[in-house]
Amino acid sequence: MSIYRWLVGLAVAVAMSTVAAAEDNPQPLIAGNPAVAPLKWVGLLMFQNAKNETFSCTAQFIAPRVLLTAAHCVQDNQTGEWYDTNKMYFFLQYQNDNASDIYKVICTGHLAGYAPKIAANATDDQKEQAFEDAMQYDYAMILVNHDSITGHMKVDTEWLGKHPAAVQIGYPGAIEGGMIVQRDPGVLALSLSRPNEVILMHANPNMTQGTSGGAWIANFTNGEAQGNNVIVGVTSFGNPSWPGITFGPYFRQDTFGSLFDYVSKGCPK
Amino acid sequence: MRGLSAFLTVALTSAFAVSAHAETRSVSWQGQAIEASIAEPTRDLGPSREELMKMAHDAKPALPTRAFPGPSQTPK
Repeated sequence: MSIYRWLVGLAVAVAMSTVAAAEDNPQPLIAGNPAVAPLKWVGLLMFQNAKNETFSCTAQFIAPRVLLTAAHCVQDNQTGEWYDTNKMYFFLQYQNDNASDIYKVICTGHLAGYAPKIAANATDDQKEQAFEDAMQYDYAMILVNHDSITGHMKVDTEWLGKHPAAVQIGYPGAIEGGMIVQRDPGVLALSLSRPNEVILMHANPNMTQGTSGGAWIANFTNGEAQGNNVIVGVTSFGNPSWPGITFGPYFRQDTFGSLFDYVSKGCPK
Repeated sequence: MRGLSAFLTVALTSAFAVSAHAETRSVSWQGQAIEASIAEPTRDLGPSREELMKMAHDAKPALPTRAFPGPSQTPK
């Protein structure tokens, strides 16, 4: 664990140097506008657990009928409980108790790596390590019952060396009660401890619960030209020791592409 | 006859009131291990738009397995 903290700290230090370089042109933290790109493709994902408790995450369209979000918004990988897809809904352009459209879920899927199979005789340290490693795969896709009425975003896989920064988006409960989509620019860094994990250094420690599954968007702009508004990650988790830092999965083309193909075909047997 | 009718009404109502269960599956797709949950295709229309908006309003922001910092504890 200590070596992990050290490695993350090193990655943060590298990212901080880039942040310092960018301070000459700071971007303010402001509420996003869901009427225009790219937030017009974003919304609130609502789901229930077995106790009928209702939760929210952030999700966004990456194809006419496919949403991208965090895997922990569809399944609890510690208990194995899948959140009921019969009671899962997506509210496009959610803002202040309104939405342009509401979608039902057909199916959802994630990479098996997110739900590690742990031996019964594993030690606590081994279990902890397995669950930490599993967060590298903390993304899921959801097939919904009809096409997006606003279109969808693009996704970039294996983008290291191409995108130094991104804007994190989502509905954090700690800001405006989670009623307004927020955007928060940050600097991207590679986690030095896991091959499929990336870090976003951003400005606001309140971009936390509720932003899970929200996209990290490179080339964020209202313009919809080719190359603009490219998803390079989704919000997975944070750590109390490092407020203002968010962790997310690094998308590999083979795994991301296979999951997209599977879910877009209706999650066949 | 009236008793039988009442019995059938209650029985049928109860049968349809039972919520459908989503199916889960583990597959290998293009060489990748994937797990999925599939909604019941014949489920009813569900809550009204107004009810859904109320549920979304009251929903608690999801907590991932790995903890987020303290300020996020603010309820929605």
